[in-house]
Amino acid sequence: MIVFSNVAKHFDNKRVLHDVSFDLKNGDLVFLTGPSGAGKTTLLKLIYCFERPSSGKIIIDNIDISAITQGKIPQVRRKIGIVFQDFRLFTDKTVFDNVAVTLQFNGMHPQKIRGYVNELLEKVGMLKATREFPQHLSGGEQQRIVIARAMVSKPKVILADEPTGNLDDENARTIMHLLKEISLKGTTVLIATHHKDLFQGSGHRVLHLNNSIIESDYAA
Amino acid sequence: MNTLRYALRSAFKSIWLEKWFNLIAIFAISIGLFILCAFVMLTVNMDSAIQRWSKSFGIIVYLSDGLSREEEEKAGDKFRQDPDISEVNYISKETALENVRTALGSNSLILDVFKGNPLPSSFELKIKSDLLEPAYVREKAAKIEKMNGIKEVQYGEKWLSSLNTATKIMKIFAIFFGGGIFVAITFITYSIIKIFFHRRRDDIETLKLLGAPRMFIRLPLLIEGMFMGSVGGALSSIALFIIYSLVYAKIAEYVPSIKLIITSMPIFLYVLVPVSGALMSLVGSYIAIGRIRY
Repeated sequence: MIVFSNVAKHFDNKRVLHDVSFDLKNGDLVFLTGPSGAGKTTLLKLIYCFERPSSGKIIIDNIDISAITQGKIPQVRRKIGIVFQDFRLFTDKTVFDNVAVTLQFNGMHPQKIRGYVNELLEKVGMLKATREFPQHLSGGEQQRIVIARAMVSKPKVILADEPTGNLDDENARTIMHLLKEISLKGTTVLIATHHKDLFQGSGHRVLHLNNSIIESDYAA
Repeated sequence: MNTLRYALRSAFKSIWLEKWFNLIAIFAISIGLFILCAFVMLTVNMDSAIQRWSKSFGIIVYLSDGLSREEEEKAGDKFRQDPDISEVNYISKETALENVRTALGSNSLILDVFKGNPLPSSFELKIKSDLLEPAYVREKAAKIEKMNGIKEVQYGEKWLSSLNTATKIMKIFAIFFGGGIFVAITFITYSIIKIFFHRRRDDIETLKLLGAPRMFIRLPLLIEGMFMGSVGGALSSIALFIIYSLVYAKIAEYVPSIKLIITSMPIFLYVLVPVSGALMSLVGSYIAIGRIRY
């Protein structure tokens, strides 16, 4: 599903990623770890085409995105659900509309959207907050909305950047449980985090980034 | 269809949220379009006055003395067959004398000094209004003068030239003025939409990251711009109509003949104002949004 072949990324003269290669399959749940500034977020940005690799090749769902044209980027991004560290929810939209937005630009009929969104909000335990605005919800609740938005269009890949960064233990466990459920349904999930507690002893694959390279690739 | 529904919802929500900004823009646009409409009305009235004057414009062709009736009729037929001439009136020597007598009234005795009728027969020709170019009329008159049996050709050359210059100046002014208003309205919408675009840049960035197509991002802002332009246009149309009706009714009380001289703007132009306002604002909004890069 995701293939990195000798990918490097430089910002001016600063090396951020160097000779990064790995391969993620459908339904994989993989943790991307490393200290702050190791390049975790940059690697995620390369996957959703926010950054272009300086060299190497990136393939997402059989599409080589290393040299993709501007016009095709939205198509690639629609295959990917992103759980942002800072949530990036629309404050002028209700919880329902925040989740529905990706279905709206995918051209789905409003009645179908209603069914899909409500089903998903129920799954993440937020059905009661359908008409609320995100800024009135707690951090954990907002993160669950973000996960619902990332899942709603049934993407092939979900990228989560520090999904539990601002949450207490209980909320963090709920979020991790949701992400594991998604991967069990065949979606590839890549979680960038520096919290070892999230993956230690889980048996999931871990890619450890340090000094711009993948230092280790192991099962936790 | 779903994109349009979403865009309309987003646009009207934003119009409500940013109502003060939108009101300012609508007010500014309506002032601009009102000035343009008032100018158009002035132009329409000047144009109809020019049309009325040009209808009375004619070339008088005096025939040589001693032409037989057949020769005069032959000349008349030639004029009638000419596609540039819309009307031909024959004035015989006798009619001309009669006209002069009527014009002179009690002083007509002076004509008795002449032995016989000193006036020539003539033709009064009306040139088609779209051909009333000074150079063209001059050339036409010269051609007629060269015809057999023609003594002299007269027409109001200076008058025609002034009329023509006035029309040209008015048209050039209308183009520049209309262009100026177009630029002003486009700029107003450009500025407002640019502000909205910057205020929403985080949301727009998120939409881009979620994979929203360009049209999905652009459409609400374009609709918002068009709304400002069309409402501004509609307000200026309504204001112009009301002001025109009030002023017209007031003047007509004192000068009833004004009804024959002043005309309102054609109804289709009243409808066209909001449409053109919307188009001008659409251009402004489109430029403000610019290229959406992913």
